[in-house]
Amino acid sequence: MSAKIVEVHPGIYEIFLPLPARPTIINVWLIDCHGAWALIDTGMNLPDSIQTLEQALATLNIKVEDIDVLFGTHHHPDHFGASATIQQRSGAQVYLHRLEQEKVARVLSMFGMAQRPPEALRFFERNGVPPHNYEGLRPAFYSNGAYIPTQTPDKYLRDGDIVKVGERRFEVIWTPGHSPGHSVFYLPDDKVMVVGDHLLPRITPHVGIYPDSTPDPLGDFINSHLKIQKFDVELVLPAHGGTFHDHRHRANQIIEHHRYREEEMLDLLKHQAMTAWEVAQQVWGDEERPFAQWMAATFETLAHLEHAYLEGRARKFERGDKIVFQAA
Amino acid sequence: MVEKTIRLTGISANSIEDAVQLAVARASVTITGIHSAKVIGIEAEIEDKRVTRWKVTVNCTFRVTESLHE
Repeated sequence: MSAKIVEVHPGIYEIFLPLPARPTIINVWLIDCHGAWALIDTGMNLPDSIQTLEQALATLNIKVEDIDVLFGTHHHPDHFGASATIQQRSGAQVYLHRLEQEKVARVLSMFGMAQRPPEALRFFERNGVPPHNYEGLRPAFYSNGAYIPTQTPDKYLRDGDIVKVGERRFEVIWTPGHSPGHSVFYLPDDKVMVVGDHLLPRITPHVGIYPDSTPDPLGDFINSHLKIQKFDVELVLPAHGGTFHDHRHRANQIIEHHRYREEEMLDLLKHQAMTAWEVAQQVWGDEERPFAQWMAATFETLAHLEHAYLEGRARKFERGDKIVFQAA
Repeated sequence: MVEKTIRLTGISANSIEDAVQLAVARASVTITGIHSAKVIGIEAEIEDKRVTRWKVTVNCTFRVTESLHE
């Protein structure tokens, strides 16, 4: 892939890095801090991506080694997968939220496991996921070197922190939901917000419940959308899709999307109780999907059902050894 | 003043009212200010002699707003 880099705002560059699966591109953000360079997110640790990053930097006559500060929005492989490589080559100060560092450790601990931990298998079973050869579903990044995250960030991001790099200020906004420590970066002097996966222009990020999740990720996600609306933003820089301007409008659309999705699920549960798997089959059952997608759909469904339960709109009880939900 | 109308079909496992509500909720993801939904068609899906789903087609109407460039 040839380098593609665009200056979207004075001194702020969008670099398009390739991904091996959809979405096929991640945008990372290079910021000229006047005397220092900051990079937000890294792409995957795959040769094609690293080479594309190098070529993009070369158009500005800089190298990976010149990066001074590396911010991670969250721990996912497409965002933080090359962080150890970049840290090692550049000596950059790496910033990540503490909750994301815990996720890094958890993901890495699963690389060497012969099979899923028993509590995960029990969690799948309790939520109605039928027995399956889960080992066939191991993500490619477990073994192909695409995910080599740094395990030793230099600083933890905290909500409200203002990190000064060169002459630029980055305000950290903690936006849990898609991931528990997901953070976005607001540049108050430019009214620019780098939003990672929190606020995408065309698609909605996955919000799911997993064995180690917080109780209400969807509630957190919605609150994070209300939170970012308080900021005065003129340019939004997302990790996937094009830049856009009206962050409040898009945040409201995403909130409405989840409101509708919850209504749709509760409609199914008015007169009968179902597991999250069964609800997901009804909601997303319009086409054939690979098993891994059904699992993701089930855990996103579970996020909606637990949210409805905490709102008092759904009941939750046991049916045999399964957890089922019904509209309250 | 101008209004715009779009046609949608809401599908509910429960009732005609719920089907209308779902259509309006889905339209509201991308449209603000829907103020009326005129029911123009109702269909019941039947399985084994029982109504399993209500499919209700509605014309949802909203006001077209003008934006000023500042």
